[in-house]
Amino acid sequence: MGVHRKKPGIAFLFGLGFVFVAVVLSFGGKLRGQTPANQTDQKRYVRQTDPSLYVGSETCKTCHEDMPVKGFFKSYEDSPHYVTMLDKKKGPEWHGCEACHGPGKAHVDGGGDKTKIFTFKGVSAQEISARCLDCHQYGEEHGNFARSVHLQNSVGCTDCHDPHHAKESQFLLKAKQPDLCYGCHLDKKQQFNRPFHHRVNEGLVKCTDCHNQHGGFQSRQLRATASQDLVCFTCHTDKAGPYVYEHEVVKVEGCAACHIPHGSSNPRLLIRAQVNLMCLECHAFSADAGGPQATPTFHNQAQKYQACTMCHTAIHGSNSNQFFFTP
Amino acid sequence: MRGVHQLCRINRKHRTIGIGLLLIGALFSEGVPLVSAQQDDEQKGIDQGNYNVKQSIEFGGRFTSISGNTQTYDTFVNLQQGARLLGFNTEMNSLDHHGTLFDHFSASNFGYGGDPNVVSRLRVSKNTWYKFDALFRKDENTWDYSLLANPLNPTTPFVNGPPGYGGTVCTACIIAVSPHNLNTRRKMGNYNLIIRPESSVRFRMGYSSNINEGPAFTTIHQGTEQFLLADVKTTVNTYRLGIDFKILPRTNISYDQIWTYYKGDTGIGDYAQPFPVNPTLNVDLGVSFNAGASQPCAGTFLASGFVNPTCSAYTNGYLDHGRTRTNTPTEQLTVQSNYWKNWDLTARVSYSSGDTSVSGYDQTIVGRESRTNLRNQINTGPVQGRRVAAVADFGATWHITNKLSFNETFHYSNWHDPAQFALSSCSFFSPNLNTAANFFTPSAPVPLTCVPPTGVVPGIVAHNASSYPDLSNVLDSNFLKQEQETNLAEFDYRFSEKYGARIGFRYRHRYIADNFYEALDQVFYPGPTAALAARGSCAVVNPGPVSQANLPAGCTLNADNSISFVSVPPFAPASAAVPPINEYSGLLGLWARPNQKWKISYDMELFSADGTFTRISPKESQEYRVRSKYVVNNWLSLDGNILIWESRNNEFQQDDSQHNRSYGISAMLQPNDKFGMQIGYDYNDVYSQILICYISVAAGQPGPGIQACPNVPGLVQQLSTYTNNSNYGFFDLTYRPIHKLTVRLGANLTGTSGSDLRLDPQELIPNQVTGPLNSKWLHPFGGLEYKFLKNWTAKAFWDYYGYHEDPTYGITGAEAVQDIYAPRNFRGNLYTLSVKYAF
Repeated sequence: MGVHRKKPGIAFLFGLGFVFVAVVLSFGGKLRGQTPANQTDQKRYVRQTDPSLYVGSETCKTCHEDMPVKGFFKSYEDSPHYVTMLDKKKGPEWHGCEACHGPGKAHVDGGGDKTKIFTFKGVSAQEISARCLDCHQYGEEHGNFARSVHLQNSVGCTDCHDPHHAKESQFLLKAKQPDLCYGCHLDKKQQFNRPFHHRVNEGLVKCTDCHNQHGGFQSRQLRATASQDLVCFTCHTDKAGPYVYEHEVVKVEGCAACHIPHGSSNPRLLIRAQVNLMCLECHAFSADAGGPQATPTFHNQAQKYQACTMCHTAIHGSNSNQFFFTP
Repeated sequence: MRGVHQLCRINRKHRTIGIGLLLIGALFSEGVPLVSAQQDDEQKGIDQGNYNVKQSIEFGGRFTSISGNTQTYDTFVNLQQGARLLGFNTEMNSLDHHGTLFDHFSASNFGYGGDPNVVSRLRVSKNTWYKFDALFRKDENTWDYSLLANPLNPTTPFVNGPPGYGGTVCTACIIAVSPHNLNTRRKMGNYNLIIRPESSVRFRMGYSSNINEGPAFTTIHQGTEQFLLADVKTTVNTYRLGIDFKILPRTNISYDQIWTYYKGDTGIGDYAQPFPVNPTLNVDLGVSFNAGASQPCAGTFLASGFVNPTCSAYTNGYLDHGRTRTNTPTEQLTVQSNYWKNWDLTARVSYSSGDTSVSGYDQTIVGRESRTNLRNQINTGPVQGRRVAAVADFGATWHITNKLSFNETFHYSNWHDPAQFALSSCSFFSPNLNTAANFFTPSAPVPLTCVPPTGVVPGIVAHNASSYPDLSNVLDSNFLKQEQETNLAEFDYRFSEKYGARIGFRYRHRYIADNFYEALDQVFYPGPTAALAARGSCAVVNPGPVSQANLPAGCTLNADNSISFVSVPPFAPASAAVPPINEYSGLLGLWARPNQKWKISYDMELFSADGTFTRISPKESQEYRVRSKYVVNNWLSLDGNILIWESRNNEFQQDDSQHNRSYGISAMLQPNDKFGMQIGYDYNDVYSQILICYISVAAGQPGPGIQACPNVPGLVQQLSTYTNNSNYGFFDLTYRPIHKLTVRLGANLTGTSGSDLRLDPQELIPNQVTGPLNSKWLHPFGGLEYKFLKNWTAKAFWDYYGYHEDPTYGITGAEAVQDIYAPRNFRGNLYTLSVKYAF
C-alpha cells in the first residue's frame, strides 16, 4: 500500500481564512468598539461587580416569597440553583437571585420597577443563554452550545429549562422527555410511534442518551462512547468489535446505513421492508471498485436465499467466518 | 386450567370495567376540547427532622386480553399480566441546606414486578460537597417476529415424512416462530460521583455496566440451516476518573481516564434433533424445508420414515464458543475557555488504544455436510486485534460584533481496527450420517496434529472433489481504517432581536483503508482415490494424472500421496483500495421570532461528494427543514414542521435516487384548568430507487422486461424501487370535571402503505411476503384517576395495541402461504388498575 497524498484541503483554506479575518478585525478593533458601553452585550454576559448594586436574595424574598405565585421563593430554595447562596468566596454578583437577574438595588429602590432589573421575558435566546452559560458553559456537556444547532435556530436555555416552575426536577426541565423534544421535533414523535422503535416513549431511553442537546462535534449532535466510537455501541455492545471480519459499512458509515434509528415500520428498524432488497442495494454489482461483491448465482431469491441473515447471522462482524456465518 | 378460566373471567370483567370507565370519560368530555394534565396537587410533603420528605407509591396490576399472534405482541409490547410496582418516588430536601449526609435525596422507580422496562434513578447531593447520580435500567428484549431470517417454506409435501411433513400440505413446514427468536435481558447501570462540584478543582468518578444475557435461537449455514440455541452473555464494565480545573478565569480544563472492559461469553449449541436417521441417532435438518428445491436434500425422508442419511444435518454435539475480551483504555483532555474577550473556545483530544482477544475458541461440528462429505470438524485458534482511535476536536466562536459571530468547528478522527485469526481446522469425512468418518494416517510431516473425535476410525477417507482440506492452518488478517477531517465554518448574523441568519460551509475528507490478508498452510489427504487429494487449492492444473508438475504453485505431492499447500505469496492482500472521498456542504439557516407568539426556523444543506463508500450513499443531496411554533392565544398553540431530504447517486449502473419527506402539524389546546388536548398529524413519504442484480429462478433468467446484469453472468438486473408512506395521527385529551376526577383519552395511530420490487411476481408466494410494508399500528388509550381519600388516588387505565399487516397476493390472486398460516397480526387489550399514595 503506497503512501496516500491528501489534498491540501478546503479545511486548511478555511482555517487560513479564519485566521486572516480574525487577525484583521481583532487588530483593527473597529467592529468591537462599535458597541456602546451602556448597551447590554447580548452574546457575552458581563457581570457588574460593584457590591453596592446588589441587595441579596433575602431582600428579594420580602416581596417574592409568594409572588408571582404562592411558594415562589421556596421553589427556588429547593432547586439546585440555591447552591449559589452557599458560595462564600465569590462576590454578590454570583449569589442567589441576582446571579441570574443581575443587580437588584435599582429594582428595589424603584419600588419593584420591572424595567430596573433583568427579566428573561422577551429577551433573545442568545442573551438568555449567555447568562446561563456564564456558569454552565464549562465542561463538555455545554461547551459547544454557542455553536449548537439549537442556539443557531434561536432556541435558548429557557425554551427547555424553567428554573422557577420546572415540571421535571432533574435539570429543571419544562416537561419530561420525550414530550419536551417532541414539542419541536414532531417528525420524531411519529417515528417513535412506529411498531418497531427504540423505547423512548416507554421511558427506558431518552433522546439525550444519544444526542447532546447542547451541541457537540458529531453530526446530528450525536454523543459517542467513551472511546469515541458510535453511540449505538453504548447499549449494543456486542456490535462494537473490533472483528477480524468486519462488515465495513457498520464502522465506516455507521448503523444508520441500514437502520432507521428512531423507529420504523420495518423489522429491526431496517431502512427497507425486505432484508434481501436492502442487502442487494449494495451487494449488486461486483464491478464496483473495492465494493462489495454481488450475490453468487446460486442465491436464488425465489427460495430460502431471500432471507440473507438466516445464513449471514453475524452480519455486524465476525471473528471466525469471513461470510459472517458464525460469530 | 381452572386458573386459566379464572384469568379469562377476570379479563372479561376488567374489559367491561375498562369500557365502562371509557364511556364515563367520553360523557365527561362530550364535545369539549380539552386540557392538560398537571393534575396532581402540589405535594407538600412532611417535615421530619431537618428534611422535607415527599413520597409517593403507586402499585397495582395489569390484566391482558390478547388475540392473534402473541409472539408479535411480545415483540412489540410485552406488557404482561401480574402485580406491579408502577412507581415509587422519594424526595428529601434539607430545610436548612446543611443536612448531615445530604441536602437533597431523590429516588424514583418504575416497572418492577415484571414489566419489560424497569428504571431506577437515584440522586444524592450535599451542597458544595458532592453529587451522586445513579441510573439503573433493565429491559427485556423479546424478538419473535417470524419474517426475518425465515426461509418462507412452501407447503410442498415431503414424501414419507413424519406427521406434518408428509401428506398433501406441509403446514408444519411454515415457520411460525422466528429462527432468530431471542429473549434477552439487558441490565445497564450508570453511577457518577462528583466531589466538590462547585470548587475550582473538582473530581469525578464513574462506573457503568451493561450486561446482556438470555437465550436466543440462531442458525448456521452448513449444508442446510441448522437450528441452534445461543446462550447469550456479554458484559461491559466502564470505569471513569476525571478532574476539572477552573483555575484560570472563565476556563475549564478537564482530564479523564476511562477504561472499558468487554467480555463476550456467548456459547452456541445444537440441542434439538427431532428426526431419526436410524433407530439410535436423531438429527437436526434445520429450518429450510422445500421439497421442490431439494431442501434440505433430495429425498429427505426414506420409505422407512428415517431421514435420508446423505442429507445435510447436525447430530447432538455441535458447539461454538470462545471467550472474547476487549480492553479499551481512553485518555481525554478537554479545554473550554472564554478567557479572551469575544472568543469562545472548546478543544478536546482523545486517544484510545484497545486490544481484543478471543481465547478458547472451539467450534465442533458433528453431523454431515452433503456437498463436501464433511462428518466432523474441529476449528480452534486464537483471535488477536486492536482498536486504536485518536480524536481531536476544536470549536471556536468569535463574537465579531454584537450581531455578527463566526463559528469554526473542526473534527479529526482516525481509527483503525487491525485483527487476525489463526485458525486450525481438522476435518473428517464420511459418505453418510450412518457411517463414522475415517481418518488417514500420514507419513509425511504435517503442520497440525489432529486428534480424531470419538468414533472416527482409521480407513479410507470418503472425500469428494469439494471436500475441505483435512488439515488447515489459516491466518486471516484484516485492517480497516478511517481517517476523517471535518471543518465547518459559519457566519452567524442577528439582524435584530427578531431575525437572524447564518451561512456556512462544511468540508469532510475521508480516507478509508480496507485490507484483508490471508495465509494458508493446508494438507489434502487422498481417498477414496489417490487423485482426490488434488482438490481445492491443489486441484490439478491440467486434466490428467496427479503429479508434482501438474499441481499449482505452492502445492507439494508427498510420498504418502497427500498434498501439502502453502499459499504463494504467503501473505497477500485480497481487497482493492478505496479512493479517498471529499464531501462539500453549503449551509444556510434563517430564524425569526416576529413577535412573542411566533418563532420559525429554516435550515438548508446542499451536499455533494466526489465519491461514496456504499452504492446507496448519495453523491448529491439537499436537505430542507422548517420548524414553526405559534401561540395563537393563551389556550391554543400550533406547531408545524416540514423536513425534506432529496439525494441521488447517478453513477453508472447505480441510478440511485432517494427522498424522505415529512410534514407535520400539531395543536395544543388548554382553554381552562379543566380541559387540555394535544392533537397532531404527520405524513412521511420515503422513496428509493437503485439498480440491483440478483437471481430469481421464478422471475426467469432473464424474463420479459428483465435484462441480464452487466458484468455479472447469471444475474439479472432491475431497478429496485421502494416506497413507504406513513400517516400518523395522535390526540391526547385530559378532562377534569371535578377536582377529584381526571379523565384521559388518547390514541397514537400509524398507517403505513408502500411497495417494493417483487422478485417473483409470477410464482406462488411463500417468498417475498411484503410483511409490514402495508400495516396498521394502533394504540388508543384511556383512563380515569379518582382521588378517593386525602393522599390516595385510584387509577384505571386501558390500552389497546392493534397490529395488522395486509396479506400479500401474487398476480394470480393467491395469498401467500406465510400470511395464511403464520400471520403476525394481534389485538391486545391491557388494563392497568392501580392505587397511588402520595404525601
